[in-house]
This record gives sequence, C-alpha cells and structure tokens, in this order.
Amino acid sequence: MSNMPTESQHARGQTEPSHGAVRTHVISFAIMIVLTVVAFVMVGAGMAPWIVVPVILALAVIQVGLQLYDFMHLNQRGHSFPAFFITSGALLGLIFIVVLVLWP
Amino acid sequence: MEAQPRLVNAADRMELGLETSTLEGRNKVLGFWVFLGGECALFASLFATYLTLRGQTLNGPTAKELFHLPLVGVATLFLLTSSLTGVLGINAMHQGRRRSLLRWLGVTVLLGLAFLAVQVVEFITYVGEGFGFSTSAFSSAFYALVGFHGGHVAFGVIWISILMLQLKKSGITARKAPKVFIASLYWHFVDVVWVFIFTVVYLMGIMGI
Repeated sequence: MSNMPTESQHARGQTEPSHGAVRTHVISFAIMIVLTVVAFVMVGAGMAPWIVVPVILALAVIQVGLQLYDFMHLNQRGHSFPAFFITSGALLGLIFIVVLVLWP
Repeated sequence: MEAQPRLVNAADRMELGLETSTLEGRNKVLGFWVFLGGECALFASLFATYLTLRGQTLNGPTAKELFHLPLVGVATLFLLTSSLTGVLGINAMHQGRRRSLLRWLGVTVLLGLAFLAVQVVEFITYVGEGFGFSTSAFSSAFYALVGFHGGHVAFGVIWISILMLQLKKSGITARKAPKVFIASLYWHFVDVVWVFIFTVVYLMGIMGI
C-alpha cells in the first residue's frame, strides 16, 4: 500500500486532528462506490457474461482489499499478524476454489 | 471507576490508537481477527452451498425472475455508507472526540437499520411471489446465506447501540476503546461479506449465470 507512511504519521499525532486519515477514508469510499456502480451498470446493460463475471469478481476483490487495508486499518503498524493471517486464509481459499473449478 | 488497565510502552501508545494502548486491548483486537477468520470459514461454506444448489429451483422462481437491480443497489448503498461512517467514528475516537464518535456510530446504526428494512421488504416480496424458505434447494440456500448475513447486521446494530449507551456513561477510556474498535472491525467485515453477496448472488443471479 502506497499510503502507508502517511497513515502512520497521522496515527502518531493523536491530539492533532487527523484530517489526512479522513481524506483517505473518503477517497476509499468514493472508489468503492465507483466500483459498485460500474459492476451494477455492467450487469444492467446486459453485457456478455463471459466479460462481466470476471470483471465484477475482480471489482469485488479490490473493494474488499480497500475495506481491509483502509477501513479495518490493516495498513497501519502493528497489524502484520492479522494481515498475514487473513491473506494466507484468502490464498488458501483461492487455491480450493481453483482446484474445485478445474476439477473434471 | 474502572481499574486502570495495564499499559504497553509509551512509544507504541503514541504510534497506534488508544484501542491498542493496553495489553488487554491488543489481545482483544488480535483475538477478534482470529474470530473473523472463523466467520470467513462459516460464510465460505454458506457461499459454497449456495453456488452448488442455486440451479435447483424445482419449478419455483429462478434468481433471474426474482432479483431487482435497484433494490439491491439501494441496500448496497446503505451498507457501504455505514462502513464509511463507522470508520469516521473510529477516527473521532482516536482524536478523543466523544460527541463526534457517538454521532457517527448513531448514523452507522441508522444506516444498518435502513439496510435491514430493505431486506425485510425484499424477503416479504419474494414470499408473496411464491418463494419461501422451503420452495426449492435454491430458495433454502439463498435464505440461509443472505438471511445469515442480515442476522449479522441486526446483531451489529444491537452491539453498537449498547456500546453507544456505555460510551455516553463512561466516555472514551482505554478499556472502552478496544470494544468500540472491534465492533467497527465486525461492521466492516459484515460489509465485506455483502460485497461478495451482491456480486455472486444478486449480480450473477440477474445475469442468469
């Protein structure tokens, strides 16, 4: 995550109002809304499923990444274990899905 | 007065939020991530069940016939916005602003209730269209997954409301901060699950996949 240094800087000064953090959160939220709208519009426009399905799944994954790393503060210091824990779980899940989908 | 919780070293206390300023708080946050791991496994199995059974509609309504894009969109907007207000609440807590924290948590609870209202209307409409819990394997799997998520939202609403009452009484303390923080983690997690539900259940259902 490229915004990691600024985030921890803002977390450090607790008495000073962290407008930077608010800005980051609002930007993340705006991105989430845009991703959601894109997914809904693609489905509403009736585009070919073989394009839409991979794209909306990818959009969902990006959105969840934003939730985890920004809203749930995984990008901040001291969160390396939860980040490792959740990422390894997600990878394991992905492997299961790939294997089961490719199963003859 | 509550007993003074044990503090970790001052440098870390400044670096991180108040929620991790005590050993108890740190353990709570860590433990909660482990709990969320368990929740992932639980929802993963419900998703797997749904994906396996969604084609078995037994002459009942299909996903394509039932789901309406605008209704799902409104529900999604409510829940996504509540996720933002939740994190803004945590931000207010980090600044020690109790009134601001309470306001954001209040908005979060209201948006959660709005989401639940949409879902109740949706389920009532479906039942009216002959799509009950035991209509088909698809309907059972659908209500189990989406209903279980709705149950999580309802639980979160109650949880955060109780925390608001406690915060009104005690203010933002080193003992209260981790409780608020893990409630916000829970709330964001519920939103994460919804992102997959609207993608996999609703959007893919409407496409007839």
